Amino acid sequence: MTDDGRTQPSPQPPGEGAALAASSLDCGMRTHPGRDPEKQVNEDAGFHRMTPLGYLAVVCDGMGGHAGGQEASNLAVETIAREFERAGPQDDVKEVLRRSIELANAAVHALGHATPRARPGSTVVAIVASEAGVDVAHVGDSRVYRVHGTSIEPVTRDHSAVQQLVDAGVLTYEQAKVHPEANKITRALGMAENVEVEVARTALPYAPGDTFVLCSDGLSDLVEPRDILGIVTQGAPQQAAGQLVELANARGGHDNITAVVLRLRVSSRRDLAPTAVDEGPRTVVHTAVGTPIMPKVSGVRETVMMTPVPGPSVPPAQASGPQLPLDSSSYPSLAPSRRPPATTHSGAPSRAPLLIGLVLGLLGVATALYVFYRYWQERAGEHRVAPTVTIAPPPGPVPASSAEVRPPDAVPNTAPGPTPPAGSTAAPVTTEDDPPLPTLAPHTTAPRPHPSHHP
Amino acid sequence: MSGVHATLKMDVGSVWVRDESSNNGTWVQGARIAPGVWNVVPAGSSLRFGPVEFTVTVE
Repeated sequence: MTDDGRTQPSPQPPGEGAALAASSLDCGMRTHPGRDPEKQVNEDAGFHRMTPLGYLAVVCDGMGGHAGGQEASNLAVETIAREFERAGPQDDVKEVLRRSIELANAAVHALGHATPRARPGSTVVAIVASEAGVDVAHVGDSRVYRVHGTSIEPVTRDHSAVQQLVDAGVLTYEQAKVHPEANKITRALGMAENVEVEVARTALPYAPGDTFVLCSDGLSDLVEPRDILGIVTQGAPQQAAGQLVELANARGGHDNITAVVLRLRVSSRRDLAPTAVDEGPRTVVHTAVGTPIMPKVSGVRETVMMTPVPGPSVPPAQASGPQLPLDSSSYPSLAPSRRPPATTHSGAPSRAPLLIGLVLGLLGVATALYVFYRYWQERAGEHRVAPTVTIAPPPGPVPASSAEVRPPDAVPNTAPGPTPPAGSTAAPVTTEDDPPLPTLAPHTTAPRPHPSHHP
Repeated sequence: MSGVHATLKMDVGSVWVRDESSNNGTWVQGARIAPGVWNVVPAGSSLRFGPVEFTVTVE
């Protein structure tokens, strides 16, 4: 791990990253089905190769059971690899990452339903190392860690329900680790016609010796960042990838395990400040590039999608053409890292529309609440499931109008909007038995209209 | 005015809300949430649809 200091920044103007020389890095991979006798089909897939845009490394973790998951992850990897082969050096790395993953999503989605209840799907994490740095994109709970000197930090933040709960302060790190639903991811390839791909806004700079570790949750569930740091700093990438997988297997290997270890021998054009690699304690950073992260938990289940709620959908901005509700946003996606005391995401438009909006909003919400209230009144008798959710309005006017807050488990899609062909609303992504649909409370106290001062 | 302002559900032991591209927005804990995205609504936190604010409790 020497910083030879001879690497000079390229004299080229900043631009999209020229591919690195093959000698500028070293990459190794290992994938293994794990030790669960019921999971001897390896649904993970990995890939690494030089492309016209830089060195591409990908890990996909398929789901959907046996052949379905395996087919999904392999198809995703192939689609991404093919798209990178087609790219030219003038293409924007981030755009190609996004496009290739969107194509992978479409390809996996086109596989259709493996069973009436489950579609095959896949996570993906992909990085491209070019002279400009390392670009990163992901969907789901497959991860990238960056090892720099004697520290390790997560680069990606899982698209999982428990991650969001940790971010929101609902669960602690420790609670999340043992949460029975830690396996629920909120985004995956193949679940809908469109997917929201998280592409890091800037390429990560690197210094000689910096190492990027891509892995599926079969590894990150069982091998802590500190273990990864220890292994990666002691051996060549191929050897390290093998040791990581062996360690996960030694700890139970409850799921398919994949690790790709990519080490740079040179610096990116925007160099990192050199670090003293030989002193000080090893550090394990749990914060992903400015956002909190939680190591994925050791659980015994395979990854499943969070329960979708059929309903009106908000197609992604780029969505085109008619979509089934199921396809556009039944599958929740996470907002970019917001912590509870969230700061400045105020979408305040200009004044006049705001006022009109306020009035309409009042009207809308009132009706919504009324409908909601009626709904719950009707349903109250039928529900027996636990938590009671009370939504209590503060004193304030509640006029009448035309919107509704849809109750969560109005399973038959009663909402306006495109109606899916029969049966398709029920075809979520869960690959294991899931409680029917959300269970919002036996009795929800609907807001009472309150006399007040508001106009 | 959108026909459906927002959707609520219970999952993973928490209440979640998704704004359905409402004109007036949905806020959790004072922060406006992006449309089409599930956001957790922690127990005891404020949930605002347009101008009307609620407090959510889970018992």
